[in-house]
Amino acid sequence: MNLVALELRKHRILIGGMLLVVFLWAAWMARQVLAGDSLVALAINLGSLFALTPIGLLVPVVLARTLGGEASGPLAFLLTSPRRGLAHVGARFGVALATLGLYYAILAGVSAWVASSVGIEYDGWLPLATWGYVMVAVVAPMVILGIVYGLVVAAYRPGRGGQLVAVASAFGLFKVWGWLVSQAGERLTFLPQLPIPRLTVPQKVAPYLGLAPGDLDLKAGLQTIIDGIPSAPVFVGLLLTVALFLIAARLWEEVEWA
Amino acid sequence: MSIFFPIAIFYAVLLALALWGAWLGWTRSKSPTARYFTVAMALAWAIFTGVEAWNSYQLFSDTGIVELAGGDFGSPVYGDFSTCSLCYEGPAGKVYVVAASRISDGHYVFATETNYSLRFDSGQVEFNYEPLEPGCYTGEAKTGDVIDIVEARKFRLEVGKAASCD
Repeated sequence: MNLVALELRKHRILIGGMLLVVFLWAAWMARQVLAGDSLVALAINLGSLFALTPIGLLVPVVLARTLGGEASGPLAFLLTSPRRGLAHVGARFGVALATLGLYYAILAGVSAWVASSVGIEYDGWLPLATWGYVMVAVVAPMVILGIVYGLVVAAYRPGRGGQLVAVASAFGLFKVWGWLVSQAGERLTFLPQLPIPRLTVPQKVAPYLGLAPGDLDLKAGLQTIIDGIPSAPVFVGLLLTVALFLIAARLWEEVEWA
Repeated sequence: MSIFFPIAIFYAVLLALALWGAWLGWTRSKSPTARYFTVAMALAWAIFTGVEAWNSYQLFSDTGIVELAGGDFGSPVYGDFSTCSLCYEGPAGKVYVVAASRISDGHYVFATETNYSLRFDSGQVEFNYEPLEPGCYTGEAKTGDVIDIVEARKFRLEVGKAASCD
């Protein structure tokens, strides 16, 4: 069976649930905006984003747990298919990334629409650029980290007490990640600076966001402090994703399933 | 015995458990990638954690635990009675208050004629360039009077009609 179809079928509850949540949320936002109460819609939007954004963390956790369950379950022999590890890992990674991409795209798109309905003005590319930045810099490494974690537990067999070392190595990876981002930001000055987006908050909204009254121009305010948005996190995220993907593909072929 | 002893014990136990887990995995596993990846990342965690612990130990030894626990805002407090920033208004009138368990390099100039009270437990505080003994002082300040705080503990300055030593 096609590996991608298998993944979609295996995680249909998770994928369907996440999409159901985000579609219901989008409908709620649309109802608020179309009812003409867009200031309330913005308040609900910003408030619920705090709850909805971390839900994406479920995906890497479920990926790791699924791998553990499959490896120790009665159907573990199915994992020893003649396909290469690259295909297995690619299917899992691709399905997870597509799910999260759709989820965060809907979140970003609806939020941008609500913001513009209140009168917040921004560059047209800002929602797409924010989505791409977050997907490459944070989401993709987290997804592949989930797969690697599940595979390490399956391949390294740390046992019950030795789960500690798997957790320690996951923490170590986060430390290395943070160190790479800070080092790349400081040392690699040739990396391009992304342009500061134009974002103007009108006077009627500013007080509700805790800002000083009057039109707030984010670009004009930030230009005096920074030259641009650093692109180092994107490149580090890309590097980390590729490296972890290769490690996951190798691990897959070394795991003693069953 | 220093306060760092239990922290060092904690890290040692954590390291021992991690090594034990690594040994279990290393002996059971037949996957070299998993071995090297796990050990490299666990080592990275140990090194980063150790470096951070060492840095915070150095910071504590250099600065002293009282300063760090008391909080160092890193910037002076600006405020005065005439603009009424950092100022309270009660039934007895407006009063501007600076209170700190530890304060240093402070300077206050009276812009108007008003009551004041000044209290500190220990340290070096000068009123119009004359050093004061620790205790509580109250009175009426003239325009241009100056309070200089070199360093003081349990310091409290009140400016305004309601200032008192109670």
